[in-house]
Amino acid sequence: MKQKTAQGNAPLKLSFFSDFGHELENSLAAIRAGIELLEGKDLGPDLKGDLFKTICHAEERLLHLIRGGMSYLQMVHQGKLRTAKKFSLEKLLQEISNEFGLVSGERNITFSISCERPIVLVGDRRLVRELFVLLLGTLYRYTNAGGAITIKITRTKVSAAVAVGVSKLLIPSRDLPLIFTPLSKRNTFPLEDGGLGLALARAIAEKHGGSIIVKRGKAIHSFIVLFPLRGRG
Amino acid sequence: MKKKLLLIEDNPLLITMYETAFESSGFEVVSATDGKTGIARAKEEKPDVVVLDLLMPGMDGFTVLGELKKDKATKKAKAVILTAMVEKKEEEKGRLLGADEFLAKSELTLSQIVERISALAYS
Repeated sequence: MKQKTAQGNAPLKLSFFSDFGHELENSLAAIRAGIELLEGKDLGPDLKGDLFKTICHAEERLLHLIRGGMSYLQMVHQGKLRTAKKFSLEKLLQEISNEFGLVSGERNITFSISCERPIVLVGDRRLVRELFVLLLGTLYRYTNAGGAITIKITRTKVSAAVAVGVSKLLIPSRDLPLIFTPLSKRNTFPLEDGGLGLALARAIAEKHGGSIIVKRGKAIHSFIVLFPLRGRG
Repeated sequence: MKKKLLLIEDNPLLITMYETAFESSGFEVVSATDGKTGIARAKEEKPDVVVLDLLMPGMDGFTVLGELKKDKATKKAKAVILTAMVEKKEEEKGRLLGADEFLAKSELTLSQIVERISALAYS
């Protein structure tokens, strides 16, 4: 198995602002072009309807980019965690897993969770929840029907590890280390949100002193989220 | 005679807009959403004009342009870089690689873009 860290603790590079600006401009250009077409050309009602839908999609994309980009920047720039309380990692993941389990049957994807022993983390529960919703949500979206997502929670003396294993993932193996880079264009399999969601997930892990590691396998890929344990955990 | 235009752009929303605008201005439009497919389509379709974005997944627009200008089958096509944001050094690089036009999506209206590319295609 090849192993790569998802570029932990990398400084925020200027390329993010350039790529972010590019994506914003593209969405704005699509909206402007659509409005100009609707106003200026004698188009049939079907084509007008299609253009209107495309404008709406471009607006959604723009809003999504703004929200995602701002959350990411806030997470990267913000100093220490504002909220750091004890919470059960197992309970949190069970809760998220149940939510995904409710919809996973629609696409015949199985979800399972196992935990060796209870783990108490110190951190922002809301943010850690967001991390796993973003990670599992992306993996679910890009897993083929019949695939399986397994969540295994383990711990050592110093850290807690949540290993998310996925089979039948549609994202090619070579792209996996890149999907945590915000708005990366080096990947060959474009993610719908351009990777902002997973970049935010990584930033949340790092904000908790942790990291996300990608292990590429032949049939099953693993995404391991590590958190440091403080005191007796 | 209709001119054939190949649009290489990774944003599907922009493809819809540009296709509609160029088709209603008399172009035959083919498109590709990444550089590799764009090069393959250029070889198959032999377009008169290639309009390409710079930031694309897998292969950037400069690499695509370089490949098109190296290949006998595609080097005669006029090349237009149509990008979100224009920087002087990028424009210079594009021109050196053989781009005939370098246009900014953010600075021009759709009709200005179509006008500039039509003028180039029929020149």
